[in-house]
Amino acid sequence: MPNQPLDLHRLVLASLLAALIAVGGYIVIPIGPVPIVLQNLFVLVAALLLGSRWAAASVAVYLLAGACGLPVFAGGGGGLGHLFGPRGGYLFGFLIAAWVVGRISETFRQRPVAEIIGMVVGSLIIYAIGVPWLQMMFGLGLGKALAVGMYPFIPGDIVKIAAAYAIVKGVRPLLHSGRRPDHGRSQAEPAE
Amino acid sequence: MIIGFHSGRTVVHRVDARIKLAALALFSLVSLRTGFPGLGLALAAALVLLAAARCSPLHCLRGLKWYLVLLGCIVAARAVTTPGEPVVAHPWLPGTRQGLEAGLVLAGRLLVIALFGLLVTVTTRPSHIRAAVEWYLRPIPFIPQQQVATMIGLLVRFIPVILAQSAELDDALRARAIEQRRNPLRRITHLGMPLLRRTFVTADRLASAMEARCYGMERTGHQWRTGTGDWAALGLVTGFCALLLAIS
Amino acid sequence: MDIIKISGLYHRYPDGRPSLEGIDLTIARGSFVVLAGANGAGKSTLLKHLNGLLRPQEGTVRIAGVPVEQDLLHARRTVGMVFQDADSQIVGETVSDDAAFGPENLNWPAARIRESVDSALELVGLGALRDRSPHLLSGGEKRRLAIAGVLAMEPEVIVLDEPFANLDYDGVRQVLARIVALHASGRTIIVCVHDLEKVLAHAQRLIILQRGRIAVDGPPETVVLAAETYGIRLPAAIRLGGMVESWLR
Repeated sequence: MPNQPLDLHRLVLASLLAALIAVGGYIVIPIGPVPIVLQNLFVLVAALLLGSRWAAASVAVYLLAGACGLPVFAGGGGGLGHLFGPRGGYLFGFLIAAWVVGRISETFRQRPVAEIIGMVVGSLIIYAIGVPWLQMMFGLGLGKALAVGMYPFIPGDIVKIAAAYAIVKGVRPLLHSGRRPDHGRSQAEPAE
Repeated sequence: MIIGFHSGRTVVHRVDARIKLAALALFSLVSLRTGFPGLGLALAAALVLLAAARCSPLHCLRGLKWYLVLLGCIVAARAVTTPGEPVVAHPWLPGTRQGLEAGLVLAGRLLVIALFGLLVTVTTRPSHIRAAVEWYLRPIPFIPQQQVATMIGLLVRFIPVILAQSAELDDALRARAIEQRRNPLRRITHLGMPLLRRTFVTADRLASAMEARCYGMERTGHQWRTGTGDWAALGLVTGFCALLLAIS
Repeated sequence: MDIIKISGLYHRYPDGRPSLEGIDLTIARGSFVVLAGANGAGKSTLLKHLNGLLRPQEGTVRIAGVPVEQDLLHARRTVGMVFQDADSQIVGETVSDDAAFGPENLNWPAARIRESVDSALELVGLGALRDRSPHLLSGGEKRRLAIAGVLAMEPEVIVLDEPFANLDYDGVRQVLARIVALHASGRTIIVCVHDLEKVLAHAQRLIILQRGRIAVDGPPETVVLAAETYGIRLPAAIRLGGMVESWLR
């Protein structure tokens, strides 16, 4: 996590995006045979908006709060039980995916193609951790684990990557303009 | 839907949050190694403590509903996939005894961990959990524990706010017949975009308000009051965990 | 004795649009000032200069004699600011946690924090709800909590930006009663509104802002007659030839 100087605005935004990731677990869009849950969408959005370090911090705070028994996980209480439970692999996957997607976006200076490829990589990372975890929990073979824990979600993920791209494109300008006028730095800027 | 803190004055409520977190971690690690007898004992302990904390069993059950369904799936899947002797000789019920046992142990462990987690959730003030996390992070270098604590506080504070906003947005979209849209991409962006915009506005205002209230690096820390009861609790938990390890 | 002294204050938005054009203003300790103006008249920008959220691009802002940019902490401790949107200024997970946020930032000892939080919550009438989650409060209660959060830092001046927005009748009365009580206890009150009806009866001074300038400034009963010229609705009672009655009656 970034140390000093204290960037209050980033800190607040990362916390609120962590809350959005938590809320994403509750938002279900009932389309098609497999309902779409928006949680990983917000992980991707946070990664692109915050960059690797703050996005990882955001997800880490979410997981840490949950581990310590704060009610942040969808599907009721349980704290650590969720992290160790069947969905645990996906949750840890979010952490790594957030960092990697943020890193890719930073390295390629937010170029659209790179960001989309980054999100595909990020989604694959989530499954790369989530599916073996599922295998271990349920004692399934790889083929069956993929059939239960990955294939049904792929169409939804493609839609979510497209949506994440559209959303980030739509709100990114606000991120930069929103910060300028408020923080007393305006005297440094030339009055054009 | 969200199970949160219930204020109360029971023994469980009064234990120092740092000790509760340590106990939670200890219990969770130990129960990952226990077999049936230990699990039974741990389960009984969790239920007794929940009762002592005046947490109604129905309430707990509601909170863990979906989790229990998942655990049921684990038992079923294990029973079917593990090779061994069948429980009942019937082609429609292919479960094996070994599989059922393995599934029950795993599900039992997860259930115990979840119940202890629930116990901490229900009996500990969020601000105390936040302060305890800050306390545990203090010795770890390169982690600004005060900022982490602030982020945890804001996360807990804003989950219900954002949840309400998303419900409001969803209603507004339904009122304008969003359900007629077949394109899932449109439906997601129509919900996600305004939600994110509102989050940005909130973040801007929140940052200003925190600045106006002098938020900075040097803050008054939490006042810990650890009494003999707390040390007794820690001793009890350690002893119980040692017992669990011994019988498994 | 003037607690706030502003002279020659100019401000431009980053895109170059002017928002304040030469504000000169002094506010006496213990007064009750209503600052009115249409949307975009520069009210919020002016308020943000009072505690250093914005710093003067030109001109000076002195709080109790000290220029704001010289001692930000002093300005923020002296001038407590209650923003319009209560929901996005409440930080704590419970009512008392939120009231304690400011004092904790000031690094006060725990005993003093407890004392000031207790008295602030009592003052706004939220003493019984201290363990409640802020999300479960009513609109008026949230607004009062926002005021308590500022009060706990024991400021001399309390600035309220649109404190009655989105409140029902009961909520308006709850909040107004607290503001009046705070003034009676000796604090300086600055209330910023675009609608005079609810607060004018208690004001000692009315300042109307228009396009970044002070248009009129003086005792409410004389200044108010000019209100409509500057885009503010004249309270109905005055239009009918009377005086605005307090909403607390």
